[in-house]
Amino acid sequence: MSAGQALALVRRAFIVAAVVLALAVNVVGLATIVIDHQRAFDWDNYVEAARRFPLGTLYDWQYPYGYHYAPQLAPVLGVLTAAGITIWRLAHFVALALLPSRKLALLLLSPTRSGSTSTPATS
Amino acid sequence: MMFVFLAAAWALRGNAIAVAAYLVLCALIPRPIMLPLLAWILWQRPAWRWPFVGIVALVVASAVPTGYLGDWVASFTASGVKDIANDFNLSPSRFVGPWWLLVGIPLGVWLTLRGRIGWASMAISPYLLPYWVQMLGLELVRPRDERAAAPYRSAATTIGPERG
Repeated sequence: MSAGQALALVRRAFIVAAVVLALAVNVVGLATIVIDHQRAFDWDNYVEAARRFPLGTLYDWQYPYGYHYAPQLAPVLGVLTAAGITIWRLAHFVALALLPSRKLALLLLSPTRSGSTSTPATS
Repeated sequence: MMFVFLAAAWALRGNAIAVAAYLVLCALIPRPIMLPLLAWILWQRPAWRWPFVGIVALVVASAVPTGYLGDWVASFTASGVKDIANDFNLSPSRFVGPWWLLVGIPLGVWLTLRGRIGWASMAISPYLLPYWVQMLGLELVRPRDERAAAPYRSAATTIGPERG
């Protein structure tokens, strides 16, 4: 094995190990949130944003609510939330299947299973 | 975030629809973690610069009638300050606060120039929520145009098979 090949091997091992480790941390974190909250924080935010949009309080954050997206998106999220959380979760698996690499999709399967679980605002 | 990552992965691969979708997402749901790939696209694919300006103009113009434009812009800084203190913040900023940006921004720029978009996304963000780590997956996506990738970035860093 040449020095170049060895270097490439080390680089590959480092990158793959780092990514897998990072994703493992992500999975543990997400599992903690899901067990604690049962559903995606993003979902609750979307429901609340759609409700607040006509009230003029879209950006009045109050833990755990926090909306950061463009304001014109809030009514669209209202339509989305009307479709139901099951559709939202299924859409994540469809997105997973559409990724350009199947191994990448497999790597992201666990985070996706939580259904776009997000993190609450500052507690 | 999954949908952002889907658009990002295909955009990095050079898919025009995904690039357009990613630019729209950058304008509608801007997050610091999205900046390195945005910069990389605008740097490596100049044809998308003016369309992105148009997208931003359109998003801003359509936000005006809602009456929330000022609040939205103000939320950018408020969000950063708040989320640095988030219990789930995985960034070094959790320990050193906004000072992390003194290291993170130059590091993110350097990593972007080297074609390490996934790591650059981690570095440049003032805070790192757990599910944002998905963006590290971009390290496993090879740009379609190899000339656009950093010279040293080899196929050894890419997992496949890749479709499209």
